[in-house]
Amino acid sequence: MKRIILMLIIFTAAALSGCWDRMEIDSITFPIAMAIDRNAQTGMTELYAQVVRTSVGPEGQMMKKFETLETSGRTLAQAMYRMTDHAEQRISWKHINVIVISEKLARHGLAEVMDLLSRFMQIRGTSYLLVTDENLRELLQGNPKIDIGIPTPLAGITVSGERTAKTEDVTLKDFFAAYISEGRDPVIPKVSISHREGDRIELEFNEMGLFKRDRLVGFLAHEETRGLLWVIQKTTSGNLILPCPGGGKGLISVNPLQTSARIIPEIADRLRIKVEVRAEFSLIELICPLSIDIETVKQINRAVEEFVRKRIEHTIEKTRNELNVDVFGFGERVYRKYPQYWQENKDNWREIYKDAEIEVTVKAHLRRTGETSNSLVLEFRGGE
Amino acid sequence: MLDKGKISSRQLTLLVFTFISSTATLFLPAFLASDAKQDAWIAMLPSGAVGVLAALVVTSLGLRFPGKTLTEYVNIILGPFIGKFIGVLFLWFYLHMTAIVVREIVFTVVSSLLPRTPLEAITIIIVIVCAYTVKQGIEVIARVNVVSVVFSYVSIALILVFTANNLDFGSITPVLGGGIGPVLRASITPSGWFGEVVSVAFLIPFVNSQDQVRRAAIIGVVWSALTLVFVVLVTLMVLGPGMSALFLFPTLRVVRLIDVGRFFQRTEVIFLIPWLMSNYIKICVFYYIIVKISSDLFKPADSLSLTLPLGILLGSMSLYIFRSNVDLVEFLDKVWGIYSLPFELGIPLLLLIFASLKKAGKKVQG
Repeated sequence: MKRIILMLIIFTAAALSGCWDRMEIDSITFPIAMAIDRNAQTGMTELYAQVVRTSVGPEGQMMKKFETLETSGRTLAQAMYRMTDHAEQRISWKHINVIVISEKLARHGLAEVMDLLSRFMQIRGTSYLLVTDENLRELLQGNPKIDIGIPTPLAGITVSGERTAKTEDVTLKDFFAAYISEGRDPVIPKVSISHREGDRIELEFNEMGLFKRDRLVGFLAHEETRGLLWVIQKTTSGNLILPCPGGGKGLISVNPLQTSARIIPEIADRLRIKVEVRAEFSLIELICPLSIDIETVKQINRAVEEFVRKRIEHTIEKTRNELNVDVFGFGERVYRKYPQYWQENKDNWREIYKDAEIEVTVKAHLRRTGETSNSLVLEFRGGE
Repeated sequence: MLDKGKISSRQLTLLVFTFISSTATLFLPAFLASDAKQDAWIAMLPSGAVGVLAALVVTSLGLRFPGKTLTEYVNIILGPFIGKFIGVLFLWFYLHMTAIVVREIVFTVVSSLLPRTPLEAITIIIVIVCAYTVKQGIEVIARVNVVSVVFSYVSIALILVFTANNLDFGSITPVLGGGIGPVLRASITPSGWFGEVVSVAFLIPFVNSQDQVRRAAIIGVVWSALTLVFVVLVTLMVLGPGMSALFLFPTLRVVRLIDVGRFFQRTEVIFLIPWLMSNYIKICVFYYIIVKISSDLFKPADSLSLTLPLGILLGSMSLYIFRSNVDLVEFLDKVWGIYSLPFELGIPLLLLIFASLKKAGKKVQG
């Protein structure tokens, strides 16, 4: 009897007390993207959260509508708490997919907001970072022209990064990794609204924001971004268009199939860095009066090599000489190969990096030419 | 004798593995990476050697005095007065260590799973479950542990599979770039963990094949060293040395980064449930040893009657030894290695020297 009573007490105590961390799903709002801005006059952090409301449309289909919640606070945390007050609901930040940073805030520096983003358990390291100079409210509220079924249109960066290689998605974790490393500067891609039509917007991800430590200092245009991606080994797709080899009129377009890059620092009298890129690519279009033979393949290879090398050199030139940022992670490579040298010189690394001799070599290999041999331009017009 | 349970030497190996590696998988990478940076995994090797040394010492002692635990034969070696004193020291050490482990679990659960639950609630639950397990005896603990080890390995294997695309071998170079100094300095803290193999001194009488004990203990140490090297390597290769040192629980961060196709994500439980399970075993083993030591010291009529009172002591200690998680992490990082090694290696080594000088106990070969 005593046993039964004891068991009853334990059972009721366990069953009736409930749990401390109870959250009912219908009383929580789940923002899927957040945007952070900074008011330069007041120094307040302004926070926008994108919430999706779903409803059933007239034909029974699912309708998505994006709404924004807005608040501000002296710190990001305060703004987040105030948002709970405004929404009159609990807000769970666990489903944040994308974090958009305004250009103003990025130029001011991200260290302050990054602390919370790394410390706060609900924010995950796999969230994507974007920087923008658009109106944040418009960016978050606008409905996409084509709904591609990802939670927030801003997450289109992944598709854009993978398919076109115009840009690359950067997660919170990637940013931290570069930020903490002494020999690498972080990058964050930029999002902009390319087209407006009523409340429908089209997004474009085509520039790459360059950071010096935590401050935005400039952007790489789309072609320049590719120069970066070739070296940090992220380009595996996308499309290159280059003039015909041999100077003729016309264009060829090729797709990279597989690329690899090595950064090899060497210390002689001064620092020399060799960047070796290897690319395998396939031919997509040949709008030149050329026949496909070994000689042409060689010519195309040379042309691609020249083209890629120029791009990389241009990007290095711009990041190094204009902005003096090391987004390629050359410093990290030096540390990995010459730890002693790095320890002695890391404090004036930016100076050394500026004077370093950087040599870019590209090896390109045409692997596939598609299902046609000679160019149809050659066949139809006979090379006029 | 506390209970009539018998464990096999294989079960002893598994127990050694569990109580060395369980807490370490979560806490160690951060401590190691802050000193040794990309060489954190190398720091595991000297500390593993310390563990092997401790295992050799305690098994030599245990084999000299068959059927007796450390707190029993210390009376024979040093006389009842000093013997009791050392017994009390060990009682303190085990109470303290177990309270820390309880706190580590509670801290982890609170900071990563149940942020609003009071520490007391989780502590009480853990202590009640462990007290029950201890009452069942060492044989039950050893058998439950077999299941727990399987789960741990499944979780480690899953983590490796799902993080494989994030591994960057470059981030563990340059090997020994900062020289051997930082690595040795970093290895002091894990030595404290490996030294926990001293617990074998209290478990030897329960092992059914005494001639296998030494081998079992050493295999346990080496095995956990290899597992930890592996865990630290994965952490370093995914996060890099910088982030491994920055985050409190780098291993958990690694798991949180798992994201297969934006679909298979939020997988912390894959890691945390086996982790909690093996830590529960760890607490049970140490709790059992506390009960054993105190019954050796105070000789109550029914030795297991001390279980619940000691559990209350344990629970309250774990709540009050640290004011916040900063205390806990600082203590583990800066103090634990130096504080625990005298108990784990120093006292047993002295005992062995005295025992062989006084020719106490029976001679063992090898």
